[in-house]
Amino acid sequence: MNPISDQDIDTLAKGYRSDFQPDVESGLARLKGRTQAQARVRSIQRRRWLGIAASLLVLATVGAFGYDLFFAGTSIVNEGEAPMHFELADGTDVWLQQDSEIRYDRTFNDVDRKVELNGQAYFEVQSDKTRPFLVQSGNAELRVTGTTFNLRVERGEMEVEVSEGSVMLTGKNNGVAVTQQECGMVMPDGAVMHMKSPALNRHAWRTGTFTFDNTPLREVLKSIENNFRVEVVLEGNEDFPVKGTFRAENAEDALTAIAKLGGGKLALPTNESPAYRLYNM
Amino acid sequence: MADLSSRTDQELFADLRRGVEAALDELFRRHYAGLCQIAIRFVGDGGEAEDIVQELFLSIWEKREKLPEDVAGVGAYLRRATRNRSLNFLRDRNRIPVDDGDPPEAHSSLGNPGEQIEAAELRQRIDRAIDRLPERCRLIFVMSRIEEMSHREISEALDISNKTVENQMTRAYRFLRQWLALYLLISGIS
Repeated sequence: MNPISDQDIDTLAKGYRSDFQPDVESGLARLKGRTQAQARVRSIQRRRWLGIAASLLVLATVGAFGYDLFFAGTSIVNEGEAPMHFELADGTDVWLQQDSEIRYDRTFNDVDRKVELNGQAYFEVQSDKTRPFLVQSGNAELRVTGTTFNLRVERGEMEVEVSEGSVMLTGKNNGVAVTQQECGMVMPDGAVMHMKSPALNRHAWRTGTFTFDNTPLREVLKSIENNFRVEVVLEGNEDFPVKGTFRAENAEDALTAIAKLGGGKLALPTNESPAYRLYNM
Repeated sequence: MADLSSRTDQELFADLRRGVEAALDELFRRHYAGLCQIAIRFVGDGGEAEDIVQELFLSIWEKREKLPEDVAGVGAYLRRATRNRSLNFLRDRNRIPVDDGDPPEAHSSLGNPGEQIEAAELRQRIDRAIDRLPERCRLIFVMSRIEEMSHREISEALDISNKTVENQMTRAYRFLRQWLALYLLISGIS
């Protein structure tokens, strides 16, 4: 047996307590609650509908983007490292994924509650039958009165997965009611798809739990791609069914587990190739 | 709003001195987790660690006009401030032990024989072994090996002699070495 040197101990000890991961965004919210109490009272009152959460958000108004010239309202972009939680004027709770944007104009909550989403978010919509909650994008429209769901809008498609209640999803020519543990999708061409989703895997970016039941590998990878909005390339023609529940906080965790399962390797994205790459599977 | 993510810590620190609140947010996002990890090594409790780092950020915001103009390493400045605040926190609560306590039993931290060993597992276990050191010994080990403070800095911070620091370090290594040897033996990997 090799003697253990003090250097071995130093190396092992370096990570002491680095397992402690405080929630940075809620830490920041707490700090802002204290700094703003002194410094930015007026600004909070002006944007009272956002409450303290306003401080967390990057508020971009007219002119921040080219297409904002005709847009007067609020844009919230999550530039942080973790999902951002805030409340809209109507009391709806939103968890906005990293690199996602939600926007709405000044008429929000007057006769209806219209928002635009670019990216992914989880909504707990405040029940209000008189003022429907609407998300529109291209050919797709989502109409809600009060329910909880995960919504992803990107590259012209809109995908909703409902955890409670039901929503109305409309494409170019028809619409479907999507109820709990179901998923609905409007494709870029306006076609509507509707399917069961008992495991609520589309919520996984937030819940950290994926459950697969003999799901083909390629579908599993698609699910990881959509959850964390990353690109995954699988080299070769390997395919196998995946079964079981996985804990994963991010794409790397999830893909590492899949690589292990398939006896393969995972290469992380680089500047040259922005996709995660699975090989030797 | 300007994108701050490409600005260096130094630039952000200069912005902060001028009262740019977004610079505080960006520095917070970059450093909060790491600084909380420093604080928890001293105080042992996650909630207390976060309180300490919260107070630090609140204080640099409130005293922004009086911050040093020329901070070469912002990260190092924040880490040093966190260490000092953690030590003050312990001192204010009379939680800096003055004697050495009983030496721990090396075998008490061992897992079951034949258990599969993994790097993460070993890491977790050494964390537990460090936690088992007598408190003064643990603090000195943490300050020296993890926070990379010199023996002189440690002896000043804890108001003890250089000799005591050295003795405690020898003691910490002896225990951790013993513990590790036993653990590796039982897991059958060396």
